[in-house]
Amino acid sequence: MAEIVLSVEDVSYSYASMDEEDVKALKNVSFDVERGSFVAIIGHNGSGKSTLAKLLNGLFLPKEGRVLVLGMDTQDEDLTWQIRQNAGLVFQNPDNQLVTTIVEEDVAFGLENLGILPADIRVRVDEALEAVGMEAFAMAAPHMLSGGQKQRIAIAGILAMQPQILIFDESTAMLDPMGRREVLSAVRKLQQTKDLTVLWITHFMDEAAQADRVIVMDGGRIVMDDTPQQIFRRADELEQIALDVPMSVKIAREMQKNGVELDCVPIGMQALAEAVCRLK
Amino acid sequence: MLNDITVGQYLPGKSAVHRIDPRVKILLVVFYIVAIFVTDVFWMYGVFAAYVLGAALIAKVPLRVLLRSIKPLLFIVVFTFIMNLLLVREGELLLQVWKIRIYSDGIIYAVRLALRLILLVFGTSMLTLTTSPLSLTDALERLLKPLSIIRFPAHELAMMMTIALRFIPTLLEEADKIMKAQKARGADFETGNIFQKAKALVPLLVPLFVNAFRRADELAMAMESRCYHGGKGRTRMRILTLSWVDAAAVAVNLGLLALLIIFG
Amino acid sequence: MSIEVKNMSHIYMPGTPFESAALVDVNLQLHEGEFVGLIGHTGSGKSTLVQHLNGLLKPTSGTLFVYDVELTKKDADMKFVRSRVGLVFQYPEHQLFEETVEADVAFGPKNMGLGGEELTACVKEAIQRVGLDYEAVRNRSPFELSGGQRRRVAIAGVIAMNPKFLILDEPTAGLDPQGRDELLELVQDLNKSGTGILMITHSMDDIARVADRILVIDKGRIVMDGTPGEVFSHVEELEAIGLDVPETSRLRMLLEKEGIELPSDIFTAEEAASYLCKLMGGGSHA
Repeated sequence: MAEIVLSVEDVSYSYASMDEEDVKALKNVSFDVERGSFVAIIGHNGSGKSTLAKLLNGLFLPKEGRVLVLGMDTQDEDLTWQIRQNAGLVFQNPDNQLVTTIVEEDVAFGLENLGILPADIRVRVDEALEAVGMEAFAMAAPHMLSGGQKQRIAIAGILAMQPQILIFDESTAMLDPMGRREVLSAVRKLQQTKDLTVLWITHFMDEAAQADRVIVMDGGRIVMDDTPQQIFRRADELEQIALDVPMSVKIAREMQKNGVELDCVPIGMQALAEAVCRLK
Repeated sequence: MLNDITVGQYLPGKSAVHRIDPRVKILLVVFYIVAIFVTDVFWMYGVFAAYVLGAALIAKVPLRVLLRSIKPLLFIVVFTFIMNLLLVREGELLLQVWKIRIYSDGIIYAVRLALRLILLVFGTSMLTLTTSPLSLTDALERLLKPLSIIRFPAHELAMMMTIALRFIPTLLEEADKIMKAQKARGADFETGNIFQKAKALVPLLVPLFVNAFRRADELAMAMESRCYHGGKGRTRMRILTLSWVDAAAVAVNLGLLALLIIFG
Repeated sequence: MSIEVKNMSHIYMPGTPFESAALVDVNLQLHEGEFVGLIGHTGSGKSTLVQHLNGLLKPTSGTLFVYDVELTKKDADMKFVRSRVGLVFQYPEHQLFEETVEADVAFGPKNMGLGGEELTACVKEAIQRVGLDYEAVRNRSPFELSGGQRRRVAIAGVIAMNPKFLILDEPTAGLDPQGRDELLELVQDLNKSGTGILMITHSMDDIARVADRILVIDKGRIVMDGTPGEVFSHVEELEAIGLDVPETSRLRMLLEKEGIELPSDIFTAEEAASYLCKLMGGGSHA
């Protein structure tokens, strides 16, 4: 078994609410993440997935249980910066996470905070921009870029800090389909070439389908945790907790209702078309 | 389209003037401002004008851009000119029309002040025309850093300016969008007296502020998760190093200083 | 005819180095009660186009009639046009500003000159139409509602003006699957009760299912205009201009290569499945 880089142990979290009692956002959540894996976390709005993202790099601290990043407890204040450097977080709104008026200065921001030497910052910034294919925009102003490009800059800013874990908190939710593809493929490439561990939080099922492992959240709890194939076998359950399933899975399910059984759970139209042809 | 707006009036370029270290540039502009207000020898204004125009020439700043920079301050220049002309009652009486008396010193004061103001605007404009807002912010932070001993928040101020520069285009774009959305709901921003117009801005300003606070909140979170913890222990990617351009600029200014000392 | 656009062009910042044509020679007719989908990638000109349709932008050239008002004329009655054509911007919840939901929804109709009981009644109706409980939300601050509810309030604010044609710019952006489905149902309901709909979207599966007609815009030109079945049978052309196609259209294309024919106007899982089953000889696969 591969090394565990992130472990969430029986974590609960609640928000103070103005009305009456606290709102429980997470209830006894536990899971481990192996090095190099691509884990999708899905759930509808309010299922607790964004709260979870902020617990993973110590922006929020668990009320119960603990979060270990490379063995470091997020409760330990002395380790805060080390944890955040190792577990980078990319947010949803591309506009609200870029700090400066020039792309390369922004990518340098995290490194400057860590007190890295100027010459090293230069090298790492250039490498990070290249890794996300944005080197041509080094001197551009962020507000002139498309949503997908801004998110790639945000990723470069995290990447430059040389983290081992990348956490994406619905980072494609505000992008158009082209931007979504652009960001997701950049992340997949990074995960495969740089031995990074990726946690991909989303409510887009087709994105979750590309992961090695899918964690499904509902009402602050983990309700499923398995491979995409196994998860999509439970399409009815997913729909009950207000989640979608890929169209290919829906069609297969409807065919099954009509008495035609395919030999697999087809994820994607290519898989469905092939399964249909095998049937013929 | 609001996409094309830039903050300030920076004209990008690679000239020697552009390449002067922003810290040096700020200090030279400070020296220049002090100098034009210290000297009262008229031909020295000519020297300083030649100095600024020479810099504009090297930086390839079109003359009309430089002249345009006076426009917002033209009223003040004309106003102070007239006030000096009318109110100074020293020197020889040159002209009297009804109750208006014009004295020789009045003309001298009026012209001198007008020249000083115009030169002041030219000089500071040259600074902002040839230095990017980010470099200016950066240079100010570094220049003011020694003051942190007396708890002057140099880094915090610079960070605030940086963030403001980053978000002004975003907020303008958003203001444009909200304005259109409210117009689509029949809002009228154009007609009515000043009070009605001010009231009509509520549907624009409230969402703008609410959104700005939301943005600020998210940005703070993003900065924290990128290990931002104030200016302490922070390094910078850009190293500012002095070069021959700075030496040349300082040399020119030493020459001006010498003229100033000799001729006043 | 509700809206008629003739040879309309729009050029941003003409005469400057930033000059760019956002719309080129657009001809378009929108009919009473139609449900039209407008698709095109970011920057194709679709937002610019819809902002013309209720007079927020003026065309550089061409003419534009909205309910028989010639919008390009100087003395065009903008109030009338804006009461006829409602426009819901992207992320409309970011435009809420009043202290209560009721007051915010009332903003539009009040600007149209409505008052008294008439105003209360139309605000109430609008809030109920978007599926919110009028008594429960009327006195609440829009800012304490959930994201999905806020969006409904914002849409109610436009519906309250009782438009005959409603334009929505990506109304489902950022919503989760359930929120998206609910919002689509709301739009469909509005259409069933006679409101014409023009909806900008990136979600091809949805629009193919609900629209009567699809417009495709690319580089400021309308390049396709037809039923979903017609438009989405051009999978390769659409992909070439950077657009997605419905999943079912992709399936159709993949199966076609294998010699299996699917009709081009099938867009739901149920239809696709029952058709495939029929092809397979219905349940007798063993």
